Amino acid sequence: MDPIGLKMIGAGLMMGLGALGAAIGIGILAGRLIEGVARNPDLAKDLQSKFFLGVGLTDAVPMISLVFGLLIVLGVF
Amino acid sequence: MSSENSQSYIKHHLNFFQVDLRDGSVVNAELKDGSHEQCYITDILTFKGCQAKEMIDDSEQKSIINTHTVNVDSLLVSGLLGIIFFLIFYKVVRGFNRTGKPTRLQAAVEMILMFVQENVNSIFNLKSRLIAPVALTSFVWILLMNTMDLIPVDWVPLAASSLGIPYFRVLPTADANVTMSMASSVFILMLWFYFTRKGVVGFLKELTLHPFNHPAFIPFNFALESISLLSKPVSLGLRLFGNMFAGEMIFIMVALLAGPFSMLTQPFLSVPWALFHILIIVLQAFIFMMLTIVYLASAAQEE
Repeated sequence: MDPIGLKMIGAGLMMGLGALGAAIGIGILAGRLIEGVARNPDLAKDLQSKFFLGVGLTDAVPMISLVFGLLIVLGVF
Repeated sequence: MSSENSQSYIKHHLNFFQVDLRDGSVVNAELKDGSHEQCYITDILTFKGCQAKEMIDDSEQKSIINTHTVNVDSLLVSGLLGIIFFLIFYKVVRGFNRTGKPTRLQAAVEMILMFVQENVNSIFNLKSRLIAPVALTSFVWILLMNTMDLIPVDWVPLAASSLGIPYFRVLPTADANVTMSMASSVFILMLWFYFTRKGVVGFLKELTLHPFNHPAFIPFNFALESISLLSKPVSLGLRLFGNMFAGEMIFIMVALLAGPFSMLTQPFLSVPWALFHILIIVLQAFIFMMLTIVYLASAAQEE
C-alpha cells in the first residue's frame, strides 16, 4: 500500500480517537459539576476551578496526539 | 509568504529562526541579494538581510535532537517577557502603598499574588520559601508568553523580514524546547526536594516500597513508581506545547482560507477562535501552576 496513504490513515486515527476520549471525559466531568452545584450552590466557585483543572488534565494526551497527527498531515514526520 | 503554495506558507510559518552554533550560520536562509549563498548571523546584525531558502528536497531524515542549533526567536521573546514581568512586579513592590488608596497596577499585582497564595495554601500546609515563588513565576510568565499567540499571524514575520530576519516565530511556548525545559526545571526541583527532605535512602525507599510494602515486591514497585515519576515532566511539558501549537496552527490555517469572500470569512472564523483561545491561554497557565504546586508539595511532604 501507498506509504503516504497509510500515514494519513494513521494520523486520522490518532486525531479521531483522541478527540473521542477527550469529549467523553470532559462531558462526564461537566455533568458532575452541574450535579455538584445543584446540590450545594455555595461551592460553585471551588467546584468550577476544580472542573477546569480536570479539563486540562483530561485534555493533555488527546492534545498531544492531535499535535502529532497535525505534524504527520503537514508532512513534517 | 510571497509563495503561492499553501504547503510552503505553512512550512514557512513552522520554521524557527535558528542559528547553528558551530559556524554562526542561520539555518535554511540565504543572502537577500540573490546570490544563494549561506547567510550568517553577522549578516543580520549588519543589516545585510537574509531571506528564506526554497527547500527543494527534504527527503533526508533530520534528527530530532540537535545540540548545536539555538532557536534565537524563542530565547529573545521569552527573555524579554521575563524581564518585563520582573520589572513591573519590582516597581509595584518597591512603591508599595500600604495605607491610602492603591493604584490599579498595585491592585492587579495584589490580586495575582493572592490568587497564587490561595492555591498554594490549599495544597501545601507547611512552610516553604520556594514553592509559592515558583508557582507565581510559572503562572505569570507562561500567561505572558501564551498571550503572544493573540498577535495576528503575519504581522511579526512581515516586520522581521523587513529587518532582514528570515523567519520569526513569536510564540515561545509553541516551541517544544521551551516547555520541556520548564518542565525539566520543575522535575529537578522535585528531585531536590526529595533529596533534601528525605535523603537518598528515603527517596529510594519511596521508589521501591511504595504501593506494596514488602521486599519481594521491589521490582514491581520500582517499575510502577519510576514510570509515574518520569511521566510527570513529560506530560507537563507536552501538554502546554500541544495546546499552544494546535492553537497557533488553527490561526495559520484560518489565515490560509483566502478566496473571493475572504473579507467575510476571516473575521467570522478568527474572532471566535481568538476568544476561545483566550480561555485556553489562561487555563493552560493555571494548570501548569497547579501541577507544579502538586508535584512539589507531594515531594516535600511526609507520607
